[in-house]
Amino acid sequence: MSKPPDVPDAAQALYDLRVADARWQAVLGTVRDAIIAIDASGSVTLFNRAAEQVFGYQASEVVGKNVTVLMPLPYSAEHDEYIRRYQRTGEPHAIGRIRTVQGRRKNGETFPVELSVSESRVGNEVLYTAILRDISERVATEAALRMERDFAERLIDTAEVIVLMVDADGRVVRCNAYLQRLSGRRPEDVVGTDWLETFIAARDRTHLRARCAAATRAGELGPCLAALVTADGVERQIEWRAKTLRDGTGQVSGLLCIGADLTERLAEQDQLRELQRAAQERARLADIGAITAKVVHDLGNPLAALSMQAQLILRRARRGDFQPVGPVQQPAEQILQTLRRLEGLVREFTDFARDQRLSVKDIEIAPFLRSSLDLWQALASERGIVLTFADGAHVARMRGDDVMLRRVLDNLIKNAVEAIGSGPGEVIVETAISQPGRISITVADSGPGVPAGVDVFKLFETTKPEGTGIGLAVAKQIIAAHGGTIEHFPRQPTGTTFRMELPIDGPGRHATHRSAR
Amino acid sequence: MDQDATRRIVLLDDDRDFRTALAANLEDDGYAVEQFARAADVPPLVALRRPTMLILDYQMTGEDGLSFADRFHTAYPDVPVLMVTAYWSRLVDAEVAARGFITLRRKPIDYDELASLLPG
Repeated sequence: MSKPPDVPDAAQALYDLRVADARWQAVLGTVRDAIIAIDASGSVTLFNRAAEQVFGYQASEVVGKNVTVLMPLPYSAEHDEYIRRYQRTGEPHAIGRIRTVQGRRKNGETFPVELSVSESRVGNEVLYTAILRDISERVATEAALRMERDFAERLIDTAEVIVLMVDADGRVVRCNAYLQRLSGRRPEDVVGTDWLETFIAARDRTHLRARCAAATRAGELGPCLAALVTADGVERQIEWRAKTLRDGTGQVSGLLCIGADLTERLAEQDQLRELQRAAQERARLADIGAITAKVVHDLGNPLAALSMQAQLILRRARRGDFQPVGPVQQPAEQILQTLRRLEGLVREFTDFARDQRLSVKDIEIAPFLRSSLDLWQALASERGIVLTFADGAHVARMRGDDVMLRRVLDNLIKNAVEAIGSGPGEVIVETAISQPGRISITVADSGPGVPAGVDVFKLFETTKPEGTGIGLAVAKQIIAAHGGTIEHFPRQPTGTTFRMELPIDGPGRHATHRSAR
Repeated sequence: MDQDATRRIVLLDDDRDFRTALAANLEDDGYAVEQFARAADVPPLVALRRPTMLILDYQMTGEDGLSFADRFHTAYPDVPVLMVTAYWSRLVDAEVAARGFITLRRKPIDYDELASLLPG
């Protein structure tokens, strides 16, 4: 630029210009924004210190070069055309507004910049001045924040826990998808309502409200169990936790409630406790069983010795060693009778305590059942009880453990005869084919029937004054070991029918053990 | 003491009460009874006077009844053996029967039933 001739004081003017230039240089050197000027052809005429820092070029490397070296594609390819178009049509692209574009550093790195361009003319020369702000940090922060928010949103909506935000008055602000699914309630129906009224079972509201109030003071609510009621009226057991939310001024703005559905877990714990209790009970019974077996076993020898002594007395009495014989013989016989009863008890306990393998063989059904009845014929006749066998099944043979099944039948027939007491009465043993491959054997009596509420198959359950309550428990085990079932039902007009159902081909291989308990 | 060899019984049972009671019954019937609590107490079999019968418990402390009975049977193959078992089981039954011994379940034993099994 040449100095105009009409300037009165050239020295003063030059001074002023220098001052202005110094100010301008100071501004250019201090501003944090990059300032770049180009001429009409796009050549860089000014590149300030901030521009050097942002782009990594020294001013000397850039001044006189086309400004497109500072741009990545596609900006660099299009920039000349922008300038030409603007000069041709006056239609601005960048001038007069703030745009976000990409810059390119000397090391090739591209980065977001906020760009504003102004145009100035000196004579015929056009000067474009660009102010660029490196916003890469801001953009990165925003991206990180956005990611953080997206993550939180996804977490809240995919988490299998209740996330519920309420305001300081306990009104629902928002709730997550899980709570919507669990409760069957839509956000539009719950937002703005009292959360305790909306979600919590009436009986739990008071204590939860109190806990929440305490939580507001303390900052958080520890685990607290309260039932959630769904739209269908179903209760879910929820473990709630909460944190106090505060606004910018530190005022409590609400509560963030987190709830875990423990319904299934609590049910499992109940089941587990029940299983543990059952296991303990089994262990206790096993101990009792072991003790019983030991006691019963140890009773055997003294009983046998006592019996032998009593028999000696009786034999000597009968031989005439004592006179008169009656006063000795009668008590000796009584002792032996009592001993036989004791022995019977011992045998029952022993049979029960023993773990026995089934010995399966062919059993001729009709003769087997007839002979079982025959054992009781003498006593039955004495009491006027009629024993009948009816073979409705017409199956010649079945597979089973004859000794075990004999014990069951003997027990059932004995029970039937004893139930009738002194006759008259009847005991009927009958066979039938209940379903293909299975034979049913029933023992029916005309006795008074089984009293209501008595589980006759339960160990030690007995209705007889001298019963042990073992016989039918063992019977059930034996029948079960054969893969069969046993049940009883009342008989009309009076009496009981015990009905066994057994596989004709015998127990499956899996069922050949009879457990001790 | 009856010295007649056909009336001698060796009784081996570790339950003293039962053994003495059974022995008393047998002695009342005129048998000479040699009692032992354990197999170890029995003198060497070669030194034993030939008995009419061996009565012994299946289950004993020390050498069990079956083992002793086997040894005895080898020494006196024609002397009958009566095995008393406290608890009946098929296995015991089979083991005893296979050797040709007699089993009697102790339930308590009916002496008359036992006496019927004694020879002569």
